[in-house]
Amino acid sequence: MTRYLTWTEVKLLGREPLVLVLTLMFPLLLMVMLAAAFSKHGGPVFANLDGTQFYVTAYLGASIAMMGFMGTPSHLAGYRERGVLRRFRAAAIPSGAVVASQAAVLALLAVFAAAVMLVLAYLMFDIPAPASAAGVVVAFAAGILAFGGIGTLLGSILPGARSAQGLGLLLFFGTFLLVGGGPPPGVFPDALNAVTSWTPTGLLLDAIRSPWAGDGLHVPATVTLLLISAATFTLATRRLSRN
Amino acid sequence: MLIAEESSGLEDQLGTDTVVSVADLHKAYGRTEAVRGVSFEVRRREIFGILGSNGAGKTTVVEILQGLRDRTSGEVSVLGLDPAREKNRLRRGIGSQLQSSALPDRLRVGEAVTLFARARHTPVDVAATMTTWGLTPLRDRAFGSLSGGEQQRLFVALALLGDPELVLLDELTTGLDPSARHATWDLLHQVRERGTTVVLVTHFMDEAETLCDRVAVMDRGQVVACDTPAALTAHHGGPVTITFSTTDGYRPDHLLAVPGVESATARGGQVTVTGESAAAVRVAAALVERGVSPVDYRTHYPSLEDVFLSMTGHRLSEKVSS
Repeated sequence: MTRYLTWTEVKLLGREPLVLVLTLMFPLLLMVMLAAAFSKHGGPVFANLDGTQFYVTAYLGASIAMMGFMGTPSHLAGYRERGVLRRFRAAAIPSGAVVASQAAVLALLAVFAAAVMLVLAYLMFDIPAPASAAGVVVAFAAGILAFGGIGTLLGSILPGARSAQGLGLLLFFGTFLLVGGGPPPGVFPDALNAVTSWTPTGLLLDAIRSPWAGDGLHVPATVTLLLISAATFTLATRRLSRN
Repeated sequence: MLIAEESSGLEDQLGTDTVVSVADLHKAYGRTEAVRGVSFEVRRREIFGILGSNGAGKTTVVEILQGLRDRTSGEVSVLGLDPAREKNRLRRGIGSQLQSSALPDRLRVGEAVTLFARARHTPVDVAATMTTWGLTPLRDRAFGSLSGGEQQRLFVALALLGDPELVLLDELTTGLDPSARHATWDLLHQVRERGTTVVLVTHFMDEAETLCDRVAVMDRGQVVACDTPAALTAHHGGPVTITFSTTDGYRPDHLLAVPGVESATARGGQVTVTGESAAAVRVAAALVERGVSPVDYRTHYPSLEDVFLSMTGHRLSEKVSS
């Protein structure tokens, strides 16, 4: 069931190529602009990376966070609004399968976006390979799991696509711009950074950057992402199976 | 007399197997009680109608039957299962078409049938299902591009995947044009021929009258009557009315002696006779005997609409808040 539902969702996504392109274009364009503008910067303010790598790593996380805060919730909440979820529930399609298929689509898109970004970053800025590619992959996977859970949980709670989009914009920009999507966190007060680094987006970027810069796996951030994932997936599945 | 015979005959034909039993069902949303002490039974192989105006509590009842809503109190058994406790087991045994539900717009008909077939525990022949319900030509059409009638045809097909013992159909023909409605009624006759028990929720009187073996009339969260459409109209619909026109100063007084006739009046050449339903044929005989043969002899039997009006004090089309 989960496999067929996932395959169906992938096909549905493929039938809306414009949505797909627009979702991917935004982080891609910003990454190119910022990485180019700050290529001569670097140092402690930029988490000990040069400006290019700083923004490339930030926007690797952006596609995951965008999908988790905006794409998945508005898709799922749209299903609720239109009665699709009730239809699924009445037909005994397991809520676990619905949650897993949404998360699988998020994973697919995030991996695709990351691949395009890395190719582009390599071609345009000739960035070096990460110090620990395996570490980055682990962090990326933990991020996908966490935001897959967050996305499905938000989608299972919010009443409709519009409210999901509104809240998603707030959550995404409210966190992403403070943890390195815009100005480097080094320019913000320490107290603010102490808070924002514990947001899911902050955890995600820390988890990706640490192995990239050669500081090894960021265990607290990676483990917290996995805990978030376990909690949110459980809650989302329970919420979707309830009346 | 006639009605009693009809009822017992129907019972023999249907068997006394109970598929759904509901006793003293209550459902409250905060302070509002949407369902107030509803009781009824649905027997195997019958089409059981739940008739009422918008807001009468019909949808709440069928949603409780399939475990999509929890009841506040009362006893409910569907196929021997409690919908509040054995939701998933129950949902696999029943077919359901929900009011105001949809599928993703870009999902194709063939994909929808395959997806829902996989949720069934029994293997389903997808190709045969598509053929049975005339969906094969629509296989590659997206759900969002289907007409209302085509969407309902798909929903009926989805509800009947895997030959469930019981299907629940909620406002199956709302929003359809007359030809699509009649096509959907034909589908329902096919469903009955397969031996499936059907619970049909509707606010269309003609639909209940044409399709249902028995009807529960709901008003303001309560069942106010439950019987065959014929018995309901005979007991609660009021008298049959006969009208015809005459000339030559004909007076209908002699018709008052006809058994079953309650009144006979003439006004401006138009005669109106009322009485029990069997009186219509006797009145015709009495007229022939008198040598009166009107060309516009009309009988008006009471309909479920009249039953509804007499029992609830308002028309079916009026929305009532409980």
